[in-house]
Amino acid sequence: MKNLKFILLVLLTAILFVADVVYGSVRIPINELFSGDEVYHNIIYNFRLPKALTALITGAAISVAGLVMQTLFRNPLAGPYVLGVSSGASLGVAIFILAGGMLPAMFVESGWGLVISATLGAVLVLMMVLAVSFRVRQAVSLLIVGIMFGQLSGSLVTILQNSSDPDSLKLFVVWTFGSLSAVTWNYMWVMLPIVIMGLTIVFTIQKPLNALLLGENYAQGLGVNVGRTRFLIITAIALLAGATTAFTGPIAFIGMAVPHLVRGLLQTSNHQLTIPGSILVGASLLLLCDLVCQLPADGYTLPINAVSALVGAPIIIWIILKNRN
Amino acid sequence: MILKTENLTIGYGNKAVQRNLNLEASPRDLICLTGTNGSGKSTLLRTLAGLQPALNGKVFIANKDIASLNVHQRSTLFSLVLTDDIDIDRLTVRELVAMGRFPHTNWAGALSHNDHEIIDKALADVHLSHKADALINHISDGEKQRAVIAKALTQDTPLVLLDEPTAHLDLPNRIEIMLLLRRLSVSTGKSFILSTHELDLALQMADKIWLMTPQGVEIGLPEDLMLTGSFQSAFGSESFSFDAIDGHCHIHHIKTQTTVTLITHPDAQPQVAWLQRALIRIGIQTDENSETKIHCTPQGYKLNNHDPIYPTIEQLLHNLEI
Repeated sequence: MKNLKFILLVLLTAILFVADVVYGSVRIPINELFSGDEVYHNIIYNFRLPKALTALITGAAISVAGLVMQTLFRNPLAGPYVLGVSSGASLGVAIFILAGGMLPAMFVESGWGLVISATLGAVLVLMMVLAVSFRVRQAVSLLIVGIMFGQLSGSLVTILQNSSDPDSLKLFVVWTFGSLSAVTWNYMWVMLPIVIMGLTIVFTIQKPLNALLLGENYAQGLGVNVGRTRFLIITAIALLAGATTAFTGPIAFIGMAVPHLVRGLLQTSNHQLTIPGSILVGASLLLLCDLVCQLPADGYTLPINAVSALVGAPIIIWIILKNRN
Repeated sequence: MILKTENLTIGYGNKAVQRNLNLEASPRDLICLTGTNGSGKSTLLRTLAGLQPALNGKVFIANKDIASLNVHQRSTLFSLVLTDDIDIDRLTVRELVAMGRFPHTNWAGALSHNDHEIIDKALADVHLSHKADALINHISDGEKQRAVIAKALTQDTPLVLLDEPTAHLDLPNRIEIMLLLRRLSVSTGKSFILSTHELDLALQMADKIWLMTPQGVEIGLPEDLMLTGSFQSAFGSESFSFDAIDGHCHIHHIKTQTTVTLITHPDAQPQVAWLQRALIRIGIQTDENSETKIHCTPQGYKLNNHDPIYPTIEQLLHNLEI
């Protein structure tokens, strides 16, 4: 039964991926796809393919980040966007571009600088939210704390923007326009290995993650080194959320919503199943969001965040209502 | 000796709750750790479990100093049943119980045929085989507690530490859990150490009592502690005392000046006993020379040998005019 669901999810992801490559703001007739037309080839290979891959990778990465955050915080409302981790990543990038104006442009353009600064920013906020979470036990209160950290990062970014030179400001403003289509092949070769690294860490700690569902004391009683596991979880979240935010900008609510969809679909909280489940559902959902973005057609697209919030926000409200009972 | 402490001092920070404890537990022991609130029951249990550091002294489990062991080594020596709430959205009873196998499985937690047999047996031991596929958030509190105990059993450790395993349960479930532990200590040969404030149950079930008082820990068979009056001095107060013969707790009710004489009937022993309970509760004393005489019969109660017979104590008391 569960195997069948996984096969269907893989098929769904594949279909959405192909659809995302085929459909776009410029209509390309199906029979022209492989015709060798220079313009069409350029659009497909240099624009649509990296964009669809980015949607796939980003959707998977932020969903798995959300899943392990919910286990780490033991809070159904945790996710990289709602707890301000994405904002922290943005702050890291802002400090890197605006305050580090004297850095060689090469370093900025290669993408590595962006990823490292975004990851460090994500770690910073994550540690602060975690420190607060030991004192705040209520699910919704932690959400407010996360929003506050997000606001804090946002205002620091604004202050930085006001006091930086025009050249780096321009560079930063261009970055803030980031979307799924901002990831070129060059950036892809930076983002992909880091996301794979983050996912690998998560795969290797599926057993301690399951033990942590019972709380830290029980996990310790089952022989889990809680401190080491927490360190690995934080590292994985920072890599997954940092690497994707560095290039696409924050994507709202997907990371928080997908784990709930997966647990509902697979009827389990076992990480052995929810990790691959989150990868597939997260990838599908973000591909779907990207397809919806293309709906207006004729060279005009919707921002991805508007569409992802449309899906994610109702799920948050549903969870809050469900937890009240 | 499965557990031994040497001059153990427990507490938080600079504040010691109990000092210089020298405790011992043997295989198959069911030990109840009891005492008044704040005497350090949970603190001692958490210290034995390594969840908080000892302020001084040492804890040996299976002759190994637990301070020198890592978490994995500890998890093969003792398992835990804690008061921490387990609230997981979608997890079956079987998946929860299977987590007890974690110390014995590989990095991915793959379960062998042998592991599945151990899980099946633990589920049967706690009478939860029929609920194996139910979600833990959909079963009763008593069943959930039994599932957590089954998880501790599959961990396959010589010692199980339980912190207030009967708290938040109703009376039938409290008795059920204590009987279960009693049976398991005999059938599995494991030692169980549990903290509880269920005096009545502890007295009837424990092989040994660790009675924690502000002055220290008294150790002994429940019966010996009763005889020496340790329970009375630890728990007794002006409002109640322990019966010297059966160990039950008697509440000291307020007494009134009203007296009655009971005239008993050989076939009406229960009627006499429960009427006496009711009279004590409302403060009426029995006296052989009282003017009010109550005749107890198997059919009911008669007042001063007049008709009618009152079938219930309530009707009798209503007509007693006091």
